[in-house]
Amino acid sequence: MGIHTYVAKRIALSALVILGTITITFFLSRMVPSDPAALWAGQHPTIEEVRKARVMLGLDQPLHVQYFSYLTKLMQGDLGVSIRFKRSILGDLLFYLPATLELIIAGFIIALAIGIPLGVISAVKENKIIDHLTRTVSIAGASIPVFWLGIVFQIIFFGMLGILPLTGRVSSEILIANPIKRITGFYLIDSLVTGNWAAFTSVLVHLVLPAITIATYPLGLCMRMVRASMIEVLRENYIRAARASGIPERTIIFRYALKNAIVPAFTAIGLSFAYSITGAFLVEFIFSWGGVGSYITYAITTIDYPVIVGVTIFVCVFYVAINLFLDIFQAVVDPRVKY
Amino acid sequence: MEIVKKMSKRVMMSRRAVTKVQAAIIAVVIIVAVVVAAYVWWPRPPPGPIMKLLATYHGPDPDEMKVAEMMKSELAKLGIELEVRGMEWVAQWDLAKADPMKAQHIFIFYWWPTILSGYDFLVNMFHTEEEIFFNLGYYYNSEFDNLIDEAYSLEATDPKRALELYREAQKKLVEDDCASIFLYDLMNTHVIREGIGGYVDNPAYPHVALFRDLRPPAGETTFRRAEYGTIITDLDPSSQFSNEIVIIAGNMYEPLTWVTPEGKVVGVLAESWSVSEDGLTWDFKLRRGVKFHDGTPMDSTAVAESFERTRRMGMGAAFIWACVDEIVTFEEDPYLVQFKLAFPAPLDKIAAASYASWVFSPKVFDIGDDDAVHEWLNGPPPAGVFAGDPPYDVGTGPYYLAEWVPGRHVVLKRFEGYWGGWEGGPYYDTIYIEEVVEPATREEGILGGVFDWTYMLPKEHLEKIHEGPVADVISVPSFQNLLGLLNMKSPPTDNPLVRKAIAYAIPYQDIIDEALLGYGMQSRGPVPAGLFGHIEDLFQYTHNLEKARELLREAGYTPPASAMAAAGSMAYMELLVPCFYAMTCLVKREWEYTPT
Repeated sequence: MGIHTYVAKRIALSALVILGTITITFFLSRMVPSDPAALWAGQHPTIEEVRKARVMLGLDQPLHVQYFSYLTKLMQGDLGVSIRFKRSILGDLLFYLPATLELIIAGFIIALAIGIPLGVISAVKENKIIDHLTRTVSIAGASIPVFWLGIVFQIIFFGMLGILPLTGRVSSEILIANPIKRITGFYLIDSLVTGNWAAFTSVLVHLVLPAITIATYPLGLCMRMVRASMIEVLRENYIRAARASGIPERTIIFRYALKNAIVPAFTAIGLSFAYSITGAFLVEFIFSWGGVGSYITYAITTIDYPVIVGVTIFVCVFYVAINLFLDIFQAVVDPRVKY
Repeated sequence: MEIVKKMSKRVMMSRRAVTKVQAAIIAVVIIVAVVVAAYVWWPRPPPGPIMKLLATYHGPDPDEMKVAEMMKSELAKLGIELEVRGMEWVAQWDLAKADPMKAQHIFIFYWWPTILSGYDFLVNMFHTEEEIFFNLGYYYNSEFDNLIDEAYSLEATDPKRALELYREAQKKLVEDDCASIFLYDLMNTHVIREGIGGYVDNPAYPHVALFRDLRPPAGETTFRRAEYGTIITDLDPSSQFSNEIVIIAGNMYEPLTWVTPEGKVVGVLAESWSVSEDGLTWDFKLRRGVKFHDGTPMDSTAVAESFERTRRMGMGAAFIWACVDEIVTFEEDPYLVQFKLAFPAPLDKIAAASYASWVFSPKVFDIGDDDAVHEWLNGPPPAGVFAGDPPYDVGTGPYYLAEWVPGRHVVLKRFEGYWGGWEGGPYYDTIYIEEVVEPATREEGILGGVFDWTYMLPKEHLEKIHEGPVADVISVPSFQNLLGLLNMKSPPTDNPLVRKAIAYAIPYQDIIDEALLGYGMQSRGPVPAGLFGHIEDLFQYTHNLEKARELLREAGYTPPASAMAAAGSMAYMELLVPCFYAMTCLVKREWEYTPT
């Protein structure tokens, strides 16, 4: 089996997973005891308004007809219309996504920048004090709930020390006096491109607490994965041979060992990145971030089922796509992978 | 010696054998004795609950949950087993609408008025309905229906008679039929930073802040309000029917009339109005010199076209105009608008409703049809949220919409051309409203000084915040009340005696003290105090278990004579309480349970 067949097979499987998710979420959302038509009509609607809404939303059709028309629309990239906001879900998602992506990418960079070196140190100093310390940190990082940590950070850094902002992506003063022109939706990029330095600093400062909060889980995971595979690699014969030939320890660790150790760790770390998009929802909630998390939170509490289904499908596609990318990446990079 | 040893060993062995047998016999005797004693002395478990009821409430609301739990434990004292079920609003509502016979017995929920009259409460929750909608206790009484309909039609022309009719109707509803448990009228609480003046909470429009009333501390120009979540869903003044009013609508748009905190109807865009004797023709004289945010002058055509669009779309609260037959404008007087009604109704109050009452610029009709206008007003992202420059609304209010990022924040700016002018002051220039879902974050923000105003904080913290130097807590009565509609159709609550017994079993004051921490007062009937139709001396149920037992006996049930006895009969305390109960019975050597 060549690499092309492998890739084709992986893509076909991924498509199947996505179709399964769509089907399950669609039918689950219809089984929930609620009346979307009444939601559409508003808080105190009349019977006539509800009836009108039901026809307009196509809810008077049999379920399988609704399902296939939903699939057809989905193929054309139409996720439907939100019941509460009465706007296109895809448009809303694209609007909110940059905020969430900015947050998880920042968090992921922090996780990698701290996690990999700590993992390496931990492996090199196996069973020494520093190893125990970093392992404790990694377990804590992977197990402390982010919603708790976020609030504690807020109390310490905003409430007690007063050095970091409480909520939002940018301060309200900047927003009113010096607004960021929306180009990509990534505030860091937009403010940089437009040369809005005051806004750039404000965005950066606002990013610190939520990014650290969201980084804790991938950080702990990254540290442990790197440590485990580093220990394994350091015991290999070729490392011993390298040591015997007098190659400096630094070169051995970073050039010879880490290069081989990082590839297996990469899959787990990559998946934790995909996973952090759902973790971001909680963090967004606490820091009033205004990303996909805020969008889905409101949708869930108000049973806005097209949004729930839409975001679920989106997250599923995101996760599957990253998984697929990692698989292919590994197959290409690592000659040991068999397919 | 050896023989002696052997002998003694044998003796010891036999002795041991004897003691073992003895011990076994003694044990058996003791066990038998205990069993016999238990059989003789142990009272048979008392029979199960005398009735099982189901109460549903809005699960996410912690106050409602506490109320439901307190009702449960109090009804248990009467031998009534109440199952309480916290549900999402829509699920709770669907269950109630589906089939009265299978639905809940007690429907716990909040009501607040759209039209500022007691009629709003009476008609929505208690008027006979062909298809169930908000009459979720399934109350049906044609006499009551006629009384309130007549009262409503007389509200404007003969308020005295109208009040008499409302009194009669509510006497039937509360004293005779006991269609609902009237729990409490809620007090709204707000947290506002110290130094900001002028905030008034109008019970007619709960949580609405009219930003022009506020007086900033010296040097400040931006007012920062923290909201509890994504609550702006629709910015179309014709169709919005959610919490938009709470945050911004009343600052961007204006109605013809407005109800003051004292309950008086005053003119906003209308200067004066008059009604014909039959109550069918209303003339509103409009204020001159009013401009919309886009510069168009406000006149009778604008008013008529606004309401016509709202009626035509039929969304949200459009039903408030149901009484209107025709809206007439006059070429010779562009500041006179006449409403011809199909049946008499208090139009001055209807025009002051919290929804569907806004007047907007006729210029929106240049955009396209009603749907196109709707879409424009809600400016869909990602096209930069709105196309072009602000204002993004078409009202006459003192502030205009400058930015809206759904789920994130709203920015309003001062409209320089406001008809009320900007003399006096100082006023805020900019209003920044941030949506902060997490209560802990809102609390942290107001204490840390990044927000000026918020609400919906944990009630336990309010006192501490109020005593602190940063913020004040304001609590005011509202027109929002909590009811427990009783199922009129399904047994056993179809029996008025049972309903009254339940009403007498509710610990009203304890609920207010413990669930609300005092931020409320016991309701007197369905209409909250201060609203037209509220009857000061209406019959009120009190917490009286003795009376409740009496009523239950009258209805043919046998309630346990005391709380202790009742506790023994409750299924959910099957293990613990009967043991405790049995012990007390043994000690007191008497049955507290009244045998059937």
